[in-house]
Amino acid sequence: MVRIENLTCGYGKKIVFRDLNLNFRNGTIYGLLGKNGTGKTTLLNTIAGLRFPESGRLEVMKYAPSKRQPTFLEDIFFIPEEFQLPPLSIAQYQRYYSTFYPKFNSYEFNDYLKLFEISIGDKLQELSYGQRKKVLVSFGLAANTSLLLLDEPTNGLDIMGKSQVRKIIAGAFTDQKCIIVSSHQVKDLENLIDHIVIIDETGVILNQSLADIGEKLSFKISFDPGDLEWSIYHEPILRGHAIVAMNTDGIENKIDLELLYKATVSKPKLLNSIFND
Amino acid sequence: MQEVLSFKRLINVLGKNWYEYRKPYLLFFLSVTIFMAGWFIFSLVVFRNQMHMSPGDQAAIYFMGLYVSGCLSASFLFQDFSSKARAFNFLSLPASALEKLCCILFYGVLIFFIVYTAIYFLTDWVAVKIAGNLYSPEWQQSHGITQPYFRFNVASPFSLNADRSIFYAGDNFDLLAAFFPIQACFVLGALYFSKNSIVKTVIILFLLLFLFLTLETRVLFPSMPWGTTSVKSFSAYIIPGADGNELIVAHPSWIRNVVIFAARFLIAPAIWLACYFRIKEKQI
Repeated sequence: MVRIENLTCGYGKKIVFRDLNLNFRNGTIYGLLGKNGTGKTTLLNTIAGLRFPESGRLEVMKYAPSKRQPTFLEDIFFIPEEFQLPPLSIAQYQRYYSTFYPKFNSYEFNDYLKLFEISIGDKLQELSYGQRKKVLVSFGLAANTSLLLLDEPTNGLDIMGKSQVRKIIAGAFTDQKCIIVSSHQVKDLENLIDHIVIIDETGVILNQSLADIGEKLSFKISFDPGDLEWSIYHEPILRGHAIVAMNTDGIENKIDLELLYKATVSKPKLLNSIFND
Repeated sequence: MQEVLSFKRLINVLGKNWYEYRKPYLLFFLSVTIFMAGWFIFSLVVFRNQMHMSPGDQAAIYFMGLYVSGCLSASFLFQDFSSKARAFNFLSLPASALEKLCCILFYGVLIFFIVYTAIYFLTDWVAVKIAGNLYSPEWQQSHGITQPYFRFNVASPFSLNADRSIFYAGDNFDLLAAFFPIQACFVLGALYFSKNSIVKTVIILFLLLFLFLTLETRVLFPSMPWGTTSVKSFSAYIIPGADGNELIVAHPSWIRNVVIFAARFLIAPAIWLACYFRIKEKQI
């Protein structure tokens, strides 16, 4: 779906990431994590053809995104963090924008809006930021594009809204699609993604499926100080420690994404060696 | 070819653009109508001078309005690039750069020109009728105007009669032909400068004019024998001789014709082509 080889991107003289190598396959929901300024949005913009790489190779569904060919653009939908919707009603928005997406499904769009408790007759300009985001997410999912990019989709949403978005994205997912969700709010991706990519200033520091992570690492709360000796990463919590350790008993366990993220950022080489050996 | 231009997609882009921007478009044309009607009322009622409705003055109003409103509106054609969020909508829309540009030029150049001309014609027609009543032959007689009395005719953009036409009288056709390249410069300026594009484009055009005049007067003319260009044409150079005779150095007339044709009809499309490539290279 997306093939990235030695990709370097930047803004003028400022390089955001250098020689990045990554692959995104269909049938997977990717969580793209990283600190602010590590290039998550730049990477998504580049995949969508909105920024051009300085060097390297980028291929998205056999297209070169920078050419912005209409057949490429109609099979990709990007929900950015900052967006502006036109002064139309939702019905008008659907009418005038859905014509650009051949696989757009109006029934699905109406269903998603109902789940979000938004009326199709509402005017976009009269909705709150969170509601407009929900409309955009509904539209993006109903467009049924092969590639869906979401940049901080839960920003500005209330607790219920975040949960609804996760549920609807998961429900709309099919094996033909690839979804890349970028976020710095790790908790928001729980129960949604099945592959995690963490990037920092040096490049990709973790690129693993949650299944592999669950197989090799264990996440637990320990009240025994002796456990800290063999932990990969630990942090104090009330009366104990949250621990990331090697999964020695082979039983897949629930992954604490936040803990995994912290462990990866603080000990990238160690984590890499665990998965590459 | 489908990737560059699809008629169906173009129709979709035009429809979407109309529904999104119909209010600003209509408000703009309403303000042009009010401004033009206001001017005619002002000139008829305040100046109380029937000469302000002469065909020459009517044409002057037409061209002044055309240049001011055309260049002003052209500077707002790419407002989508004024913010990241709006630029995102423009660039990610599944249509080719050519289709997006065609849509902008359709509304900003073609529809603007047609609607502006129609607005002018209607307001001018009404103003001429009012002027005909206000400054009737009786009124003119009572104000000491001797025959032949001043007659009020609509300076129409649609007439082929040079006396009553805006476009075919004198050098007016060149004024019309010059409008499209100048407006195209403002369209290109709107693509290059996301903020204050009109001011920046005006400055650049003045700088280019200054550069051209400096080159002509400080570099070109000093390097040639003393003389002048012919009044009607840039293709001839007249050198006065000591014996009172003139030496005229002229290009073949076909070169002059080609240059005039290019100046009238090719500069604007060339600038639109530059706009196309600029859209293609736009990034967020």
